[in-house]
Order: sequence, then C-alpha cells, then structure tokens
Amino acid sequence: MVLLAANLSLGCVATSWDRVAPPVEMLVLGDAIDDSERKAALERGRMVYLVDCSKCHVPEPILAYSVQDWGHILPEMIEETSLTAEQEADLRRYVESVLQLGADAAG
Amino acid sequence: MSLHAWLRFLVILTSVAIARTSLADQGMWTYLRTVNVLAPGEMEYEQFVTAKWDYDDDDDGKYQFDFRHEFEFGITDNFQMAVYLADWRVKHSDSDGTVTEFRTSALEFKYKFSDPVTDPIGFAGYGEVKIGSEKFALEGKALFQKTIDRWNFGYNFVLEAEWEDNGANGARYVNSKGKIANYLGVAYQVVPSFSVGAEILAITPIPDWAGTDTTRFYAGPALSYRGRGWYITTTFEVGLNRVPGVERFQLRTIFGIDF
Repeated sequence: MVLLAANLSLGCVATSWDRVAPPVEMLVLGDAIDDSERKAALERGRMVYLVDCSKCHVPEPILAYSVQDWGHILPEMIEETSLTAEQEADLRRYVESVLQLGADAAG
Repeated sequence: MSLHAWLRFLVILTSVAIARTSLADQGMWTYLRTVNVLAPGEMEYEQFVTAKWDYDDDDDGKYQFDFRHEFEFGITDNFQMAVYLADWRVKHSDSDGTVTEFRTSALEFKYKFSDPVTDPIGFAGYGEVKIGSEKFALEGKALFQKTIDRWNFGYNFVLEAEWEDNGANGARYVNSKGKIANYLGVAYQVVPSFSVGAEILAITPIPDWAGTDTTRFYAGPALSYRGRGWYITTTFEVGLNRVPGVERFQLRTIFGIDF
C-alpha cells in the first residue's frame, strides 16, 4: 500500500490520468475483505471526477491539494454542476479515499 | 415566427432555466467545437460576436459584425441539442452604407461517442439545420478531441451545403453551394479557470458543387476565462493568404452563461 502510494506521488504509474485520479485498485488493495459495492462506488466516483469535471476544466491531480483545500473545492465545484445525490456521494467518497491514500503515503 | 411567438419562447426557456443549475461545456475555442455535451437537464446560453474586417477589395471602409444567440440543452448523458434563435449581421461599406440583416435560425444536434479524457480519443458527431428567409443550410461535423495532462487538442471536419435565394422571380433556395472546412486547435490550461491556445482554420468554398475556390487559411490565439457560472472565450484569427473579397481579420468572442 505504502509503496503504491509512493509510486503515485512520484508519478510512476501507468497513465497520466492514474496520477491525476488514482485507479480504484490502488485504493482497495489493502482491504481485508472483497467489498464489491465499495469498489463500484469508487469507480463511479472516479468517472465523475474524470468525465464530468473535465467538461469545464482539465481534471487536476487530487493529491496536489490538501484535505483542507478539498473542503472548499468540492462544495464549490459541486454547486456548479447538476450531479445527482448518488453521483455527488460517489465523488466525495472517491476523493476522500484518494486523500486517505495520500495521507497513508506521507505518514 | 412572429416577434410575439419568439418572446413567448424566450419566457418558457427562461422559466426552465432558472429552475436549474448547470455544468457548462468547455469553451477553449470559438471556431472549434469540443466533444463534451451538457448533462441531462442542463442548459447554457452562448452569445457569439464575430467581427470581420480588412477586405481585399476597393472598399477600404468595409467591415462586418456577425451575431448568434444560442441555447444549449443536455438531453441524455451523450446527447445535446441547441437552438440558435437568430444569426444576424451588420455590414458596412463606404458604397452601400450600413445594413442589418437577419440570416437564419437553426437547430443543432451533438452526440458524444467517446470521451476525450477516459477514451483513447474523444469523438462526437454534430449536425445543424439552418433556415432563413433567403437561406437554407445543412451542416455536418466530425469532432475529435484529446485531453493529455493540461493540454487539449481538437480537430473538426466540417461539410456544409446551402441553398440561397437567387433573387429571380421570388425563387427560394435554388443556388446551391458547399463548403469544406478543417479546424485544428490546441489549448493549455494554465489554471482551472484560464486557458491559452490557438486555432487554425482552412475553409474551402465549393460554388455550385463544381470545383473549389481558393482555400482560405487563418490562424490565431485563443484565450478563455471561466468564472462561476459563466465563461468568455476570444479568438483572433489572421488570414494567412489573401483572397479577393474575403476578410483578412476575424475576432470572435463567445460569452456563455450556465443555468
């Protein structure tokens, strides 16, 4: 887990979008149990991040901003959209999981 | 459509619009169309203004302003429609003075087949039907776009067929002609709210569908700024080759508002 997170921060991943929005496999690798529902929600959240956000701007690397920054960014950006409640929840869950991954790597 | 009918239509559109918030289409360029579409139920208004000047003919005082008022609607995840309420223009020349002309109203359809971020290449098909008192036109476009890091690359292939009034015996839509255009664009996102880029245009008229006229080439910078719920994009295009009767400079600005 820590090695994967370190790879993310160094940019040693498969594609540039993996660096911007890490694949879900990286987020759930350490899970003790196979939670397919969580994986599906994270996948949906990642697609919202990459596809819907890019309608207005190129997606920014999630780990380029702090947890505090995202506390402001997410509500502001969501307000600009017409995401459904489910899409919004998936997006929040995904971003929070990536930030947790970053925190684990730093810790 | 009468003025009263237009006003009623506008009131209905506005009523729908104020009930929604929206996510706008990315406006990095003004001639190129991007692949993305609005989400279902979203709406955006775009005001186009295009200034054209420095015509290579005897009339030094000639200039033209083109205006377009467009409402875009997201229909499904991959499909959007748009209505151009009116394309109209103001033309000035020293010999003829200033003339204001309504040209066309139009319907536009765009279907996104693949995404510029998550797919190897983004692709959308685009169709447009324009109709006016003196002109009827059909336009098809193949839109390609790829986003790589902070860069966006776009290409549009455009084929247009139009029929115009020939002015004889009140005959309508009889003079047929076509146009092929290739638009190429690049844009770099400096920060999420601001991008700089460039657009290259190659436009080839096909009069009477019998051979082609000289292809006009343009190139120039594009700047785009996005605020909360609005954006503005400007492109300044310079003619790379002189064609008699054709403007050398074009400055196009699009102001978009999300509803």
